[in-house]
Order: sequence, then C-alpha cells, then structure tokens
Amino acid sequence: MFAGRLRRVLTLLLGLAAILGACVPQAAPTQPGPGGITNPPTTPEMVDAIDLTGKNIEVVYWHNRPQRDQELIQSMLDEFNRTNPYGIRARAEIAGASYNDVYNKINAAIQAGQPPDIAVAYQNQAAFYRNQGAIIDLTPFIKSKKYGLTEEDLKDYFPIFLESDANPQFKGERLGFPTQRSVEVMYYNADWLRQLGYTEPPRDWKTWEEAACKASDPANRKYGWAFRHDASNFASMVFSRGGRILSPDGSAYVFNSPAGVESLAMIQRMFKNKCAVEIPVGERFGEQNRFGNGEVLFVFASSSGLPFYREAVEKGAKFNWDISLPPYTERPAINLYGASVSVFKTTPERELAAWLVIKFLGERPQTVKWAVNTGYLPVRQSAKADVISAFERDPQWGPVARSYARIFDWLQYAMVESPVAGYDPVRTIIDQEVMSRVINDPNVDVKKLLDDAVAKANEILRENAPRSGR
Amino acid sequence: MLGRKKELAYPKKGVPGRLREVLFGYALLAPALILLAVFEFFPILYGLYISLCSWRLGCAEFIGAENYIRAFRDPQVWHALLVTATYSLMSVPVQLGLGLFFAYLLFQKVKGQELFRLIFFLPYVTSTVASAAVWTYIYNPDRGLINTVLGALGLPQPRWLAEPTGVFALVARGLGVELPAWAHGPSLALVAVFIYTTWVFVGYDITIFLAGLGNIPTELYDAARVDGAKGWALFRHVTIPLLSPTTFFLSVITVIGTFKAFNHIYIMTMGGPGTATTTASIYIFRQLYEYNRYGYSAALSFILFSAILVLTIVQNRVAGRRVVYE
Amino acid sequence: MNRLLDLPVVRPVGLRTFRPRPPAGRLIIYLVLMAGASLSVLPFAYMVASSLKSYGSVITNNLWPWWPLGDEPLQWQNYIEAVRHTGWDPHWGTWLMVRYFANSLIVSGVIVGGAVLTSLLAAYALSHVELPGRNLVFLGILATLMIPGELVLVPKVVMMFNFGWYNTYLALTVPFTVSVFGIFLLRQHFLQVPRELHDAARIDGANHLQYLLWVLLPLSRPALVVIAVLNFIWAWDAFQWPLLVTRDPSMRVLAVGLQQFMVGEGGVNTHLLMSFATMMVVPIIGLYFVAQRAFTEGFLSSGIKR
Repeated sequence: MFAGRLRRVLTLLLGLAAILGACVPQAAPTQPGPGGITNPPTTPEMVDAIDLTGKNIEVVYWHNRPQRDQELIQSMLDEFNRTNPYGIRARAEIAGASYNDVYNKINAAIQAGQPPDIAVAYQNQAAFYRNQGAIIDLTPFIKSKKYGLTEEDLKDYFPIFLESDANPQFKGERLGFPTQRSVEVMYYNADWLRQLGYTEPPRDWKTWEEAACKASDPANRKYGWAFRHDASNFASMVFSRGGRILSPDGSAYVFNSPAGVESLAMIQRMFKNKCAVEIPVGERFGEQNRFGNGEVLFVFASSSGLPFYREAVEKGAKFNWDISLPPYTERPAINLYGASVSVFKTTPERELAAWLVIKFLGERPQTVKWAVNTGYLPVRQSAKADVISAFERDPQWGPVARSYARIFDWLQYAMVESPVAGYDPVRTIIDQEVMSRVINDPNVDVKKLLDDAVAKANEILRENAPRSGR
Repeated sequence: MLGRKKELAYPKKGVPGRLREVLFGYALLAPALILLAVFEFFPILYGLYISLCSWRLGCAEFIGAENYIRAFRDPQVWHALLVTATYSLMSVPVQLGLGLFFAYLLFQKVKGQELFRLIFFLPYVTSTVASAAVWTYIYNPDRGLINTVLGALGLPQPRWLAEPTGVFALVARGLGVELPAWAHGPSLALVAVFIYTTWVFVGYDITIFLAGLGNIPTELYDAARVDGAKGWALFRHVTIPLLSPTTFFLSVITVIGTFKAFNHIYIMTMGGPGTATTTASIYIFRQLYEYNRYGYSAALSFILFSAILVLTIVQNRVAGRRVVYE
Repeated sequence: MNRLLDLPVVRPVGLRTFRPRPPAGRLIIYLVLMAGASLSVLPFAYMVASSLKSYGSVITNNLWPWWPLGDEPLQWQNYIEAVRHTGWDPHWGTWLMVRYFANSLIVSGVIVGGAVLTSLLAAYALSHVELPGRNLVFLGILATLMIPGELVLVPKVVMMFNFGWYNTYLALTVPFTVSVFGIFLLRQHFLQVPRELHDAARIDGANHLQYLLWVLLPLSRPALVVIAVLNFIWAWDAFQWPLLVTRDPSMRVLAVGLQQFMVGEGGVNTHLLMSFATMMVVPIIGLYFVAQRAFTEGFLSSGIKR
C-alpha cells in the first residue's frame, strides 16, 4: 500500500525533474563580435583591435593569501588603478585559505556562470577550467603588439616559469601566467647534522637515509625525517631519481616506474626502521613546528616557507639551519611549485583588462616587492639581484639569504608535476592509497600499489580529457 | 462543560465556510511549504536530474541509470557504506548505554543535578568546527594531550586518528597474537572519531533519557515491588520496557545522524588515514569537489538517502513489536 | 544543519524519589558523575589553556608552561593577536573578527526569527485547522530531514547565483528560515493542548489567529525557547554552506572564519587558533546558560508519548 503510493509519487517527481531540468541555464554560444574579434581572441591582431577607452572595466582577482598579503596586493593594484591609461580598476579578494578552497569556489562560480576575472590556479586546475571552456589561452595577449610583452620582456622572465604554463593537454596553450614561483627544497638542521658527523648535507639518497636513521631516537621523540601527507614530496623523490609523474606528451601517468618504486620502498623502509615520523593531517604545518623545536632533522617543503621556518626556529630550539637541493641519484631535480594566474572567459574587453593587470603584477617592481614580502621567487631575472640584496640586508634572515640566492642556480633542474586536468584526485590517490599504506604496512607490495594507482590515475585522465570542439 | 452548547464562532457552516477554513490553513502553511519546496524539494529533483546525466556545466549527455550502476560496481562505495555502518553500529549501543547510565545516576535525586546536566550538555551546545579542531590536537600522536598523559604514565601511545589498523588487531598484537584480516575490527581512527561523537552526544541522550525516566509512573514500580522484584529485576522489567519509546527514538536519531555525519570527520581526518574513516558523506563530498563528478555524486547521494530511509523503516518495523506504550 | 528529528518526550513530572541509598552508594554515584563531567569539560579546559600559551610553548609542546612548572605569564594578548591576525574589514572599517561576529549574530538571529515564525504558523495549521491531506503534508515535511546535505548542495548553490543572492545575507539566511524540527516540536505541543480550550475560545468569538497569539503562544514559551536556542546553535555552527555562497571575507561567519584560519595559518599558530575557537564557543555557552531553565522545561514538556 505504501509502496504503491510511493511509486506513483516518484513517477510524478521524475516527470517534474525532467521538465524542470530544461530550465537550467545553458552556456551561451560565442559568435565573433564587432570588428571580427572572437571571444576569446585567437590572434594578436584581434587583441590589438580591442578598444578599452572609456570602458572603465573592473577586474576582480581571487587569491588565497592571508590578510597581510591581501593588503600588499591591493596596494600594488591601487597603483595600477592610478597609473593605467584605460581607467581599469582592479580589486583583489581572498577567495579561500588554500588553493583547494579557491578551486572549489571557482568551480561553483563557473557552474553558475559567474567566474571572477582572474584567479590563482595550478596548471592542472587551469586545465580543468579550460576543459569547461571557462578560461582562455593567453598567447594572443602575450604576443599582441599593443598590449603584450616585447621580446626583451619575455626573455627577462625565467624561461622555465613560462614553459610550465604551456599546457600539453591543450596543444601548448598558455592557460596562465606566472606571478610567483617556489620550489621544494630540503630544510635541514645544520647543527644536528654536524653532530652526527656529516660536514655537508647528503647528496644521494643512500647517505640521506643513513643520516636520517642515525638521527632517529623514537624514545625521545626525535626523528630523521618528517613525512608529510603531500603527494609533492613523493613527486620530488621520483624526479630526483630520474623519473616522472606524467609522460612528457601528457598521455599517461608513469609514476610506477623504477624511480617511483624505489622512492616508495625507501619511505616504507624508513617507517619500518622508525627513521621517520608521520605528521598527521590535522596538524597543519606540524613539520615546521617540530623542525623549529629540533625534533626533526630533515623536511622537504616549499621555499616559500623560509620566513616561517626562520620564525619557528627562533621561537623554538634556536639552532643553525639551512636549505639545500634534495638528494638525487644521477642528476639533481627540483619540484617547481607556484600557481599561475588565469584569465576567465567573459568578454574580449574584460579579458584584455584582466591580462593587463596580470602583466602589471609581473613587472619588475611588483615582483620584487612580492618576493621580498612572501619568500616566493620573483618571476623576472632582472629582479633577482634586488630581492637577494633585500634579504641580505635583513638581519633576521642571516645566512639563509645566501641559501635563497642559491635557489636561482637550482632552477635549471626544475620539473613540473602534472599540468593536466584531473590531477588533484590523483594527488589524493597517491597520498591515501599509496603513501599512507606504506607508512603503516612494512610488508605491502610497493609495485602493486603503484600499478593500481596508475591505473586509476589514467582512468581519471581519460575522464578529464579535453572534449572535441572546444 | 457549559450547560447549553453554543454555536462555535468558526468554522462557519456550509461549503464557503469550509473552503475559507481550508484556504486559511494552507495560507498559514504557505511560508513553510514554499520555503521547503524551493529550497529542499526542487533541489532534490534538480539533483535527481543531475544524477541521470554526465554533467558538465549542464547535462552534457543523458546517461540514465549509468551513474547508479557504476556506484553499485564501485568497491569504494561499498567500503564507504561499510565504514558508515560500522560507525553507526558502534555509536548506538555505546551512546545510548552511556546516556542511560548517567541519566539513571542523575535520576537518583543527586545534589547539583542541574549543574551536572548542564556540564554534560555543553559539548552538544558547542560548535562542531571548534570542538573538532580542539580534539584534533588532543588526539595528536606526538604532541597531543592524551598521549602526553599516557606517556607520562608509561603506557603505550596509540596513533589515534592516524592509525588505520583495526582495534581488535591492535589489542591482539599487544598480547602477541596476530589476528586474521577479517577480524581486525574497525580502525582506531574510526574509533577515535566515534569517541568524539560520543563525547558530543551523550549529554543530549542523557537529557532525553531523563525525560523518559520521569515519565514512568511510580505505581508501576510499587506494583512490581509488591510482587517481590528488586534492584536489577526492577530495572529490567519495568524501566527498560517503559523506556523503549525513548530508546527507539534515540536510536533512530543516532543512526540517521551517523549516516549524515560529515563536519567533524572532515576536520579531524578528511576521511583518512587512507580510507579508514571515509564514510558515505565524505566519499560523496570527495566525488563532488575533488573529482568534480557532479552526476556521480548526485547519484551517490540518492543512494545514501535511500539507505537512510530504508534503515529508518526497518527500525520502525523491528521496534514496532518491541516498543511498549501504555 | 538539522541534527534532531523529533522529540517524543513526555509531560513534566516531578522527579521520582527512589528509596534513599546508603551513603557509600551515593559517594560512588557522585564520583562517577564527577568523572563523567570532567571528561565532558576537559577539552574545553585544554582549549582555553592552549589559547594562553606563547608560540614558543606551542613549538616546544610545553603542556604547562606557567606556574608552578614554568615562569611564562598567561598570554592574554593572544586574543588580541588572533583578532589582528584575521585582518581588517574595509567595508565597515573594523576588524574582520568583529565583522564575523556581527555576521554570525545577524544570520543566526534572522534564521531563528524566521524559523520560529514559520514553525508557529505551520504547526498551528497542522494541528488546529481541519485541512484535507494534512497528514500527507506533515509526512512530506518530515521526509526532508533525511536528505543528506550533499544531495542538494550544488543545486542550491546554483540557485543562489541565479537569484542574485550570492555573497549576500539573503543566501545565508533565507533557505534556513524554515525549521522542520520546529514544526514538529510545536505541532506536538499544540496537539497536547486540550480541545476544550480551543472550543471555549471559539465560543467566545476568537478567531484562529487570536487564539494562536493570545492563548497558545504563551503556553508554548518553553518549546519556542528550545526551537530558538537549537536553531541558533546550528546556525552558529554552519560552515560548509556559508563557505560556498560567500566570496568576500567580510561576508564570512565565525565558523567559516575559524575553519579558514585553521586551514591557513592557524595550524602553525595553535595558540591563536585556540583563542579564536574560545571566542567562538563562549557566546554560545553563555546563551545556553541564560536560556537553560526555559530550555530544559521546553525539552521536557513538549512531548508526546508516541
């Protein structure tokens, strides 16, 4: 009796759903506008033809930095607002506390047809937005004679930074432009290392593992290495052993190579021998605090954390510390971090205004200011000297300023994880189904874990492959 | 009553009178109904529509029941349901048991009863976001309150929220025995989360049980005592049966709550370690936000909804025979 | 946001006295209750204690850096530091933390007001007005409680965009101004009021609304307090929805502010995070203290037996 009524109600509901579904707003098709400019513009000439006079466009920039950085960005943008000849007004907004939050917000906004004008996005996130037709290729803007960058300008940018934004999944389209970058470095406790008998930071993994295990004293809560639930740590290890996460043409995930297997096996061994400690997910930046307290010898983390590590050590155990290139087998490798800024598809005029804001943020005075205040790397080579001397002048940085300077030499070894759409769930798979398993189970088959993970990852890759006709 | 039955002022007799009454009634209901229709019912239909699609900014392709079939074939879905069911199964007896225990104690006309009840209720009143954040630090394996105390006492320090191994396996290992995989039991991480939920909800259960206890008429106890029953027998034969409506209600609430649980698990473990605490809600959230599989997550939500519905109906049937009313 | 389904609770009765227990038994009962109460309170104590530590103590994981084990003073300035750390709101010209508080108050207040109002009207209609199909309507309303949030989350967010409510107080409040729990509770309560009272009022010429306002409303005060307090608490705690439908930090509520702080820098600055958490928790506990009497009465008195 109840079932019968239920069935009738459900059928009615289903019918309603189908009807109501038709009310969903659809994405409008784009036609070439006046003057033959498509949306988005596909050639530099089209960009040149855009006229911004009198339009007074407002550009909104979504980012994930904390409040004091928001103030810095806005002050830089205020200067842009004062000096640009087109009446463009730019405004920065904190869209979330992490890249993930910003990503979620943007996806929701895209679903409802109201994205911001520009926002920070990792390359793989940009690819995901591009898949939905929500962001645009910046190449015509960069190449535009009137509004773009000159050859000299382009050369001033660190080439590896610019390269990382050309997306293989979309035939090399530039889906973002860099305004900051950082790399994953190895933080180490220099005093402790010396006590253990090492005169310099380990260069190869074997020595590194030895040192970490020597340092470990679980009874006194001291460990050689702080393991973070971060797939990027795994990626760095794979890179340093000559492997890759994604194949160069972006067609398949390849982290189950021997490099991957060895990296994972090392992690498994270190936990089996209690040479490493797991920083729980809930203890955010726990590795930083424990490092500062002298409980951990080695940490792999972003170079943008330099000011924070300095503070932690100062308030903690006060020792000599430094950063170095992570250990490697044959050739050094360093994981290039840092999101770029992407422009969302709106109208050609607004897209151009958005591009001009990004261009401004990448200019030398801005990138110097930004790097000095946040510990990120500046994106222009000409800014390098200014930033380094600023750190050297600041007494709180001390010898770490020298290490910061060395990062620029390491850039030649930079590698990028995976700039394709759908990489975020793959990172979770690497963390939860691969790394988390080996740290808790000293006997699980490492190769099998990796093979299963790669199979899943490739499925996600296929699912997120660009649709035809976009 | 009054001597003579006077005419009631309303509802007026006759069809127009009745019609006005009905219209008035529905007018009163209108605000609530409109709000529910717009913000609960319509989104369900919309969500159903999404679940039948391969969804990207709109229904890219109508795929019918494919998302549902995929869900049934996905081993992680079953795992998530298993975790949720385990969580639920642990919660009901322990939370209700503790709730009844403390309620019974408080019922003994203890001094300071109101203060105790207030204190027990505090965790329920506190914001989940705040208390889950605090408990995350309490549970920290190396720096948290619990392990610091255990360490000072020389006791073993489990890894709580970071421990995926089953509790039975851990205990057995402590005794030198290695259990087979199927007997490992729920992960310590899940148990740790469950301890937190118990802390939050026991106060609420106590309050409800107190009300239930207060409803049992003394005459029944007197009658039973006359028949020679005492102490435990009284409890078993009078208190428990007469508490059954309360117990039933609380178990339904607890089951529904555990199936929908999300906030605290997200804050404490994000579903980890591995998938040890990935309940159905966490899994659905993941599919929605990380994988951006709108259609799939919508289908999963419907499946979860049905599961809750079925469980409630089943509980209703099962309890129907056992719950005793006056 | 709905944590309760319904309350089958019972008429108010005085507490039954059992035969007095021997003193030893009483002592044990007290001890057990004290143990339970301490466990209840311990996390709060930990939260407050951690909020008064210095960053150094956080890094060195010092459990008790004050007297008598150490000489660090109580870091009351952590609270000010936490407020400063959260930032400045240019729109209202004040600290963002103040704005978060204000937002939480506004949102919770409007939700409570709306929920109470709609619950009153709907509960009355479902109990005192002869409506065809009212049982079906009631069941339908109840069924919404079992809906998992994720199911309706994305459609609802999209609707906020379409209505133009994104990043406004409307999106934060309107969808929650109906409380199924409230409707249920009040309906129970109203059903318990004897029919005779209604008849008497009708004979005296009162219409529905007058009866509702002058007779039922005063009688239902405890139940209303329960609905108000619980909805306030749930609104104060909500964070997933406000996170999604707001954009500016100035539109955030406390729960979002806290979660963002934890994901951002709070993880490192545990002492500041705990200060923030304490500031968020104290008002609610204060509210509960104040409303406790009426609240408990409402819990106990609005019942049915079934």
